Amino acid sequence: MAEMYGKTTGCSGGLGGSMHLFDVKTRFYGGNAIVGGGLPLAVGLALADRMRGDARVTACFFGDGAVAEGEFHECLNLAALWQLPVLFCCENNFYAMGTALDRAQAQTDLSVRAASYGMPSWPVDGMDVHGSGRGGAITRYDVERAAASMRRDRVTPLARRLAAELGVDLKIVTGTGAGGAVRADDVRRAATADRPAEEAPGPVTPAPEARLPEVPAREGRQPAGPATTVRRPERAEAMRLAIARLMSRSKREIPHYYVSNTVDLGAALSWLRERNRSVPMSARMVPAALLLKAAALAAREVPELNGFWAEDHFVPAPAVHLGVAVSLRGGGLITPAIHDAADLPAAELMSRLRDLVNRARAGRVRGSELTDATITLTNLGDQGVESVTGVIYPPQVALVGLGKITERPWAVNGLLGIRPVVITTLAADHRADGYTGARYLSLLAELLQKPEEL
Amino acid sequence: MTPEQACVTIKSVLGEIAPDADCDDLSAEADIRDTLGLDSLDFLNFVEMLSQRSGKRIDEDDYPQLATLASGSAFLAGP
Repeated sequence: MAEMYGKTTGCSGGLGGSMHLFDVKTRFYGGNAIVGGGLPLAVGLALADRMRGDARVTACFFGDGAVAEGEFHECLNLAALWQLPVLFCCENNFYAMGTALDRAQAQTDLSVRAASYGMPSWPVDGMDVHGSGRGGAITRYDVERAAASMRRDRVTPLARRLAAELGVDLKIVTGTGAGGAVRADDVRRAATADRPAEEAPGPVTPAPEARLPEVPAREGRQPAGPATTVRRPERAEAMRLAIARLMSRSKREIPHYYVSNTVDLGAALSWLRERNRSVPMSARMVPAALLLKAAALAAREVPELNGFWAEDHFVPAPAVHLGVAVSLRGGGLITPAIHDAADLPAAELMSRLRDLVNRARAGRVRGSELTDATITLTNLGDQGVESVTGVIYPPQVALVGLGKITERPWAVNGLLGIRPVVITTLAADHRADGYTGARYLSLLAELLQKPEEL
Repeated sequence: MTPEQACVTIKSVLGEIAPDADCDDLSAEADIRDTLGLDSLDFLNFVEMLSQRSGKRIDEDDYPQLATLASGSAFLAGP
């Protein structure tokens, strides 16, 4: 009553008034002046609990008028889709705001609406509530059973994506996470152990595939031991499968065209040698860092190659997030992105590269790093090959390849000399672009002649 | 540091950088980077760790001397 009168002693400090009663102490998250307005808030609270791993149930009360709101349907759908722990209670008085239910609704049994979202629901006589307790009382058992039935299908988002990609039926996967939640590792284990011989065609969507080789952060924190060594081949195998699918799709769908250029690195390498001589050992840069910086800058200058092919047209990306192919020890390859690579000074790019490669090999890459690349670079030069023409990572439209830096006879101003050179290549999507690949590589070569400006 | 101690140091550093590789099988004259598949960043880690443990400054011009176990041990044990 104090709240109704706007007194500071009210449960909402007098600020809520009659329409916005709330009391965080008792976990009452408020009434709402908007019809159906409490539903999205309840779903949000349940999602928060799920993400934080809190074993709670959110109860949400609304009237029969709210079931005519769009929010009601959106909220039931999301709660069912994400298996969120929400108890929706519709208090049906048959006269929402004074309109008789049968004058406004074709279906007056409101409990069946939940059925369209695959959600268990029951009509309950509010004047005579039944539970499993004595005299129909609702007991702790009833609440726990309701919560358990929701928890049964707990799956981490990564595991869900992985299962869809690998064609694993989540119902047969045993969860080892908190509260029996199915984790990515469980899906990988099921995929390698129980996979039938013939391939199940899985749903193919661009973004989840690109995210696939993700390794959950917690894995990296586990102490090294037998568990780690046992898991490794499975992880490598699952990754191999994901790469196989992504690359097959790339070759099937993307009409690649290729250009290549041999670049004199004489200026870049002597500048680098001088620089490295004058800095502490930990600040030394490898040639790859300069090449990365030049590749990122060139991508910014040629925006036609920096972005995605989506729904039959090219979508340029607002920034250059340079994906870098990193081979993992024991097999596998991931291409995490260095964010805003074109804007970073070369030395900063070098330390990001070191950090990224170290983390990639320790299995500690962040999800955003695996999904955000706008153009990718592969540097096989370290493996001793002269040049590499790559396969584009869908939905990106270009892939830069760098070969080994080798000394070659080279003519400059009519004179023959020995120069360090590198073969740069570009594979690009002909749907998005047919000629800027050449411009990109010339620009890359030009930038590498002025290493001090990188 | 004697050449023998240097050789042990090199092997233990390599064991940390490439845990999957079997450094005991690495012959004295084999090219370390090629045999273990080290990329340029691995090699930089290798050089840094060697420098820390031996207390010896290693310039880029010295890199060729770290190509094999034999030449690397001689280099680290040298003046």
